[in-house]
Amino acid sequence: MEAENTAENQQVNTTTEDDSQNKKESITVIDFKMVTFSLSGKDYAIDIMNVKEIAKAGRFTYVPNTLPFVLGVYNLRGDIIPILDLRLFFNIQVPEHIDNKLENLLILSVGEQTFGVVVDKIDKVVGVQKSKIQPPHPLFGDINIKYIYGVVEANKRLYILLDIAKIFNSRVFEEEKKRKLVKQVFTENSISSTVPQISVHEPEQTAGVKKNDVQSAGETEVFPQNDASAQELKFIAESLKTYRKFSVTTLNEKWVQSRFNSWKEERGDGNTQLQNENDADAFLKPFWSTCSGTWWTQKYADALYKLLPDNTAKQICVWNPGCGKGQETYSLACVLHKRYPGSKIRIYAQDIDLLNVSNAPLLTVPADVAAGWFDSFITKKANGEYTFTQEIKDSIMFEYHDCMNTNALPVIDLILARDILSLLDEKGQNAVINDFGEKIKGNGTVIIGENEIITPSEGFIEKTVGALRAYSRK
Amino acid sequence: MRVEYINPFVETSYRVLKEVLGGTDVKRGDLYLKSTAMPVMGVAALVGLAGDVEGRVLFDMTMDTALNISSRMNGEKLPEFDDLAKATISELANLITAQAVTKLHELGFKFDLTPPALFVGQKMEIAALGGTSENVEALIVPLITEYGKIEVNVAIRERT
Repeated sequence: MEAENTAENQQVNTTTEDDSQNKKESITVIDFKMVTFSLSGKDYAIDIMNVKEIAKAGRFTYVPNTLPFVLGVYNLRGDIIPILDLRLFFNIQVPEHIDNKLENLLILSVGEQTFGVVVDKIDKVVGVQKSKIQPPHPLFGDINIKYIYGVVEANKRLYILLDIAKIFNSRVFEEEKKRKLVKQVFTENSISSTVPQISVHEPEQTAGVKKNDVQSAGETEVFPQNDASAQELKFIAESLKTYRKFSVTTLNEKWVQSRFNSWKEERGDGNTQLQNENDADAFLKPFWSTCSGTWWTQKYADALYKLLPDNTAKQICVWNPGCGKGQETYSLACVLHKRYPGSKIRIYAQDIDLLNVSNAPLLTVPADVAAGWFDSFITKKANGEYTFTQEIKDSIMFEYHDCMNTNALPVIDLILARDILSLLDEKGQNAVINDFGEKIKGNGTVIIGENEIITPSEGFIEKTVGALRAYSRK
Repeated sequence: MRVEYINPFVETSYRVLKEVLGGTDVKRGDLYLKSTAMPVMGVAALVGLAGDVEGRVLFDMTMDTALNISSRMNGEKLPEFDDLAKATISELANLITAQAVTKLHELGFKFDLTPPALFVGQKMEIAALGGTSENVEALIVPLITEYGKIEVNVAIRERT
């Protein structure tokens, strides 16, 4: 981080010098021009060298098998170019579309290729001094920071300068990052540490070196205890991984640490090691959240009901990775139907256990459960068994899916992923949490296991309602 | 992939294969998911899906397996992978996919298929890319027969 700080300081210094010495010169030296536009009321800019032209167009030809933000193709005087909607790409609200209305279009050329992007309003061309462009600050919420080249002030307005090359080459970048992570996991084999976000401005190599430093520093700091105890804990962490695929990382180390202390009291010194699956299960028993993997009690359902924020959207999309046999998913569906009676609920429930998830759509409800708070969502089948109403069933889509693989989900209002993250390896945890950040709406809610914590550096803030904890995007 | 889709594909590929091979023993390996680029064993028949969903079904086998199966289906020994053999493998892909789609139709899902396309060659790889940047997740159904192994590779996703 130091390198970046000094760079920033220098920049600040030069600008203040410029300001104090001769203001005139700093205005006259314009070596960077950008086209400015607005998305959802905020000012953005793109380097003019990337902009071929601006146009107004509409009624794009839809192309199947594309990502949601690709609106289709457009015939620009004989050239067929793809059209993207920047607002959809960045998960910014899209104003209601009026048929036949022409959209504001920026025609960009990146390398050999030409793209059209749809924006709210195109403003004008603004000239600035290149040295005054400052690196992005995490304050600018809506857009993922890796796509921002910098921020620059002109005519008393702050413009967010988008990094077009990054946006259209994002795949390459992501893949490189992934490869690096894999390498690290293999070479270092560390128990835990956070991977700091790589600043996009740094040369790749220094970023890599820095990451390694933090990693090795983190290794010694994870369990700051006396040596013997730390060693025991390290063995436990390894046994948990072997027997139950449970990875000890920053996500859950706080719980593991406190559980280790109570475990020592339970077992007595010298008998703390986990010998087999049963030991691992006993160790993990208090870890699982209330009603994890089973029907929710009225108490838990009510607590969750209170946690959910108001939402007037017509359709509420929910992502439930690790749905298992589906009891939790059905419970969630009932709570959501109660909480948002006017909205259409869509739950994407996924699991990697094929047998469990295959049976989930046909799940029957035991009589004692059916008589409880689920009552109004239950019907009786011809053979006397209880099952959920068609409305509840239609709102859930069960999928056989590995959440480490990319998914085709739309933007999501609520993520329910209780106790699943700890069962992924560290690389997977980071990837999935990163995925949460990309898929969740600005006002969306993320619920993870009661003994799991997402560190603030991942871009989430914590909120607590009653006994429950949830996260939303910064 | 939606769980309702899985069974029809597994079931029909098992049943059709058993039928066209004259009731020989067909074993089903464990199903798994894959999202990386995958090597093709030598012969690959591909059927595209469209409609409520988008995706593809790929039947992957070695050249020997393809020859054995087409010989068996035609009731004569085919010495080389000629037009008849190619047509036979394409038809097998078509048969399986079409019957799976018919089953899915009965469950209320609407699918259309493209005519099968056949790829033959060495050291081929099917890229895992779909759309602009996403890796497609595919379900692999390995089917083991005495004529060799066929991998049915199904990638379907809901249209969003």
